[in-house]
Parts: sequence; structure tokens; C-alpha cells
Amino acid sequence: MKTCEKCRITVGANREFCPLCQRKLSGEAEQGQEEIFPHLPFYYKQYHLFFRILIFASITAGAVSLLTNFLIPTRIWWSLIVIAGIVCMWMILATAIKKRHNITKGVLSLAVLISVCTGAIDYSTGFYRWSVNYVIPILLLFAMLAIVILARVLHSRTEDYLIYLIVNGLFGLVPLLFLLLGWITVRWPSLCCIMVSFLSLAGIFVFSKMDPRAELKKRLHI
Amino acid sequence: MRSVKSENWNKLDNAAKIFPPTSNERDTKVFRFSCQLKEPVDGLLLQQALDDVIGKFPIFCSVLKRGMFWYYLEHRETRPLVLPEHRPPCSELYDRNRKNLLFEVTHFRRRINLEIYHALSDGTGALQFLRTLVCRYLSLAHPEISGDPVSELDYDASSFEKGEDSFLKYYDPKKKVKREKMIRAYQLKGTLLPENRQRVVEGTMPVQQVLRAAKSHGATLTEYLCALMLLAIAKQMPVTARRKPVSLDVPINLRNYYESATARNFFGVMQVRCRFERQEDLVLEPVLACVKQTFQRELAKDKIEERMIQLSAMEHNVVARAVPLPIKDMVLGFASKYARVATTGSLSNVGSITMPECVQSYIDRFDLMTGTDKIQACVCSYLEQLTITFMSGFASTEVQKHFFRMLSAEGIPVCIETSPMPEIEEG
Repeated sequence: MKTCEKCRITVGANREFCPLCQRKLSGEAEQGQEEIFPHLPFYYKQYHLFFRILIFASITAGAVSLLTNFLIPTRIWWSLIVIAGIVCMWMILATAIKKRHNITKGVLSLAVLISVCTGAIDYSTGFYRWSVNYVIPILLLFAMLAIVILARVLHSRTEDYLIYLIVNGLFGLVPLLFLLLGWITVRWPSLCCIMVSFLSLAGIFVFSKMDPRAELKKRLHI
Repeated sequence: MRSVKSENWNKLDNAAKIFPPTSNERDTKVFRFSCQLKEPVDGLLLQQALDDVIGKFPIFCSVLKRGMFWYYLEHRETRPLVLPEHRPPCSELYDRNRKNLLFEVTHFRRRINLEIYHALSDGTGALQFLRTLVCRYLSLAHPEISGDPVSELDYDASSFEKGEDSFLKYYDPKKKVKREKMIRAYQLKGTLLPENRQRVVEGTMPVQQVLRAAKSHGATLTEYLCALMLLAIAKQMPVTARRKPVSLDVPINLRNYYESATARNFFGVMQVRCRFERQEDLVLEPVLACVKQTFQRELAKDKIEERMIQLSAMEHNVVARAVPLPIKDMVLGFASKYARVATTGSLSNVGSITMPECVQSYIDRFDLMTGTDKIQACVCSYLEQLTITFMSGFASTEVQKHFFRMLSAEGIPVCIETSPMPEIEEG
């Protein structure tokens, strides 16, 4: 067995230097002395070039629009909307990547995030109501469909996606609030969304193989 | 879309509640128990052994999910797979977006490794699982072993007992305790290993000789090793840092104080603190005296009870319970970062591990290691051998060097093994 004279220890595996003081070991290597952990090389994680280009392009676009806006003044600061749009895009992209292993939750998060983003952009550009009239109700409607289809295709477990369907259904009732507040000028998308949400919530409680009350109890335990 | 029964989930026990919000790539809260056999391990047989014993530990077949207010464990009928060791020891196991099991059984040459996310179980629970697994494996690999080693294990708890939350069982709401003031401790500094790798430095030595050395100083094994570790850290401490004390976290197995056979978490932590303000303080005797005094004070019955109540306090506070999980995550994250300043490292001794006599001759030794962002020593013994395993993410091995040199200076033959670090060792 190899030994370190300074530390007065023996070294189990066949090494050249003392693992404690990095001094050269003395003695002969013995047969049957083996490492107790596998040799695992470092892998050096790096961001993909595509992302670097995307990041740089976003920064350039933001800076250029700010400069143009500054040189050619207009009634509104449109460059700020461009920058807000870029920030929204990155938030959505980050959510999509982070949630890629939990797709049903990802769909719900994205639907809510995009709804908030479009609502904010619409509001800050004069509130022409395109977000509450069309985008938000249609988005929530399709998110609900997407969750059901994805759960089927990916053979997800009921207990993994049921809660997102329920929460999506509850969000789908939010256009009712818009309707009552009188924000909506085109009614049919919102009415569709509210109806489908209501029916799917009812359907979950009537037909689900898993008791949704038990799932809620589990998720909401205090 | 499969149907499921509804009552298939468990709340996290209260020691476990701190782990999900605070674990990350660097401080994974994963620990590993290994058993080194005297022969190479057969992966297929190990898989068969795992399939056979997993049913005895239903709580291990769980995934961690997020509720509105708390995390919880949900039972899964996933078949756990045995793999050849393919990741650095104590790599991250819990990924909040993946629904994977919170433990992993791997093998490398003669070693069987069990890695567990701490939210699931503590050292004692994991050890029961590993012992059962190894017994089953050996009886499969060696039909000549007479009798059934699994049934000879001194662990006959029912599934209910194994899944029980003992904190809840022994919580007494009438007792109130006041918080102790936090004292900032010295923190190790230095270059980290790349990619959040952790270096394992493991020393094996005859247990009798270490016991004799401890006895000659009038101390128990844990007290003695604790004093040595405090001293080893102090020896490499820069003079400018000396006004801060060195402080070690020492986990206490509450099963020794309360009756419990749970395979889940049931432990408390005490802090052993020592000051090294002058050069003359760097000798064993005064440190050992300080350690012995702390042990005596902290291991008193009512002190242990106090600690348990403190741990359970949040769980029983109605207002704190009703805070949504993302906010709890943030608050607990900050709180634990703040509390972590009070410790320099930790030392845990799981004591002597026993195996049924019929399989003893096939086993070389056991060891234990824990992922940490500081430095951690884990101690266990099997038959004649004592294993002390250091784990740390720092490139330097000064603490380990001082520690093992002090042992070898006592005339104890120490054999060192480490995890290979590719490019670093070669320069």
C-alpha cells in the first residue's frame, strides 16, 4: 500500500500524490487496490449559441428603438412598448423552458402570463379592448383544450394535471368579471370561454375518475 | 388517464419542511449511504432485491408535490430502477418540475449506494432501508446462506409505524420556549470545485483504537471526533477570523429519546461552539472540555424537548400555516440563509451498524456522506472498522488533512480514499 510519510496515512487506491497534502506518495502499488468512486469528467455547461444571438438581438432592438424614439420624438414613447414587449417575450420563453418537464402546468402558466402581458400592452396603448375582447378569452379556452389533449397524448396521471384543469377553468370564468364591469365590446369570445369553463368544471366534478374534492383537499391542506 | 385512490398522500414531517425550499444545486440536501461488499455487485440481482424489499417501505415510493400551502408526498406505483453509478455523489434528486422518486439505488464495483433526498427520510430511516436491501441482495446472490437474513434484522416495524410522523406524535402545545440568540460563526472560504462538485475524503481505521484514544481523554467517541474537527478547522483559520467562534451542527437522533420506529425524519440539531482567540487555544484538552460541557447541557432531557417544540412551532402556528407556498418558500429560504451563518460545518455520527450474523462475512464496510455547501463529516462503524467521511465543495483539503493527521499522530492507522477529481489533481 502506498503511504504518505508526512501525514502518516496509507492511501487506499493507486494514487501518485497524497490526497491530503499533495505530497508524492512512497511505497509500491498493490494489486486489488481500486477506486471507490467512478471517474466522471467535467462537462462544462454553456449557453447555446442560438440563445446568445437571441439575447444580443433583444438588447440591440431595445437600444435602437430607444435611440430612434429619442431622435425623432413622437406623441407617445412607443419605444417603451417595444421594450415591454421584449421583456414579455423573455418571460414567456423562460417559463416555457422552465416548465418543459411539466407541460400541463406550463400551458396554464403561459396562458395566464400571456393574458397579463397582452392586457398590459393593450391598456398602455390606449385600451382598444382587443385583449379583453379576443385574446384573453380565446387563449384561456384553447389552453383548456391543450391541457386535455396533452394529458391524453402524454398519458399523464390524473393527479398530475387535474388541478391545472380546475385552475384553468376558474381563470376561464374571469371574462365574466370583464363582462360585468362593462369592459367588453365584442361578446361572443367571452361568452364561449365562460360557458366552456363552467361546463368543464361541472364535468370534472361529475365524471372524473378521481374525486376532485380529494385532490383539492390534498392541494389545499393547511 | 388512470384512476387512483384518493388517500395516498402524506404531509411532510416537520424537520423535512425546511428541505424543499432550501435545497439547490450546491446544497442538494441529498445524502448517501453505501455498503461495500467483499465481491463485485451484480446489477440485475440488486434490481431483483430492490423489487422485493421496496414493498416494505411504501413511504419511499413517493414523489414530492406542491400544494397551495405545503409540500406533500404522493404515493406512486413507479418501479425504482437500479443504475450503475453515473453522477457525482449526492447530486440533486429533487426537481420541482419532474415527478421522480426521491431516492436512487446505484452500484459501482463492490459498492451499493443508496441516495436519498432528506425530505423523505433521515439517516436512521435510510439505513434500515439499505440494511434490508443488502440482506435481500446477499441472500439472492448466495443461496448457501442458511435462513432468511431479512427476517433476522432487528427491525420489525409495521408499515404504519414506518410512515408515521413522530414529531406530531410527541408535540406538546402547552410548552413554550424562548429563542436563543444567534451567534455568527466562522465561515470556510476558498475556491470551489467546478460544477458544484463535492469532494469526498474518507478515512477508515480500527474502531477500538479510536475508542481507546477517546477514553484516554475521558470523552465519548462523538465528543472526541467533534473536538478534533473543531480543532482541525481552527488550525487552518486565518488569524483575522479568530474573533468568531467555530461552530459545528451535530444532529441528534430523537429515536433514542422518544419511542419511534419511523423511517421518516426524526432528529434535532445541536450546536457545538468553541472559540479560538489565542494561539494557545489550539490544543485538544480545552476544546474537549468545552465540547463535553456542551454535550452535557444540550443532551439533557428538557433541552431536547425544547428543541423539538421549537422545530414544530411553525407547523402549529395557524397564521404561518395559511401563508401560500411560494411566499413560504421565500421566507424559509431567507430564514435558513440567515441561520446558516451560525454554523461552520457539521458532524454526524450514526454509530455502529449491525447486520445479521449470517451475512456479516460478505460485507466489508459501510459509509455515509451528505451533500453540503460547508463541510460535513459523517461517522459510522461496522464490526472493527470506523469510517469517517468528509464531504465539501471546497478545492482545499486543509481541514481534512489536519483532522486525519491528528488521528494518525495518536498512533491510529488511517487509510484514506477520495473521489477522483479529473483535471484538478493533474494540474
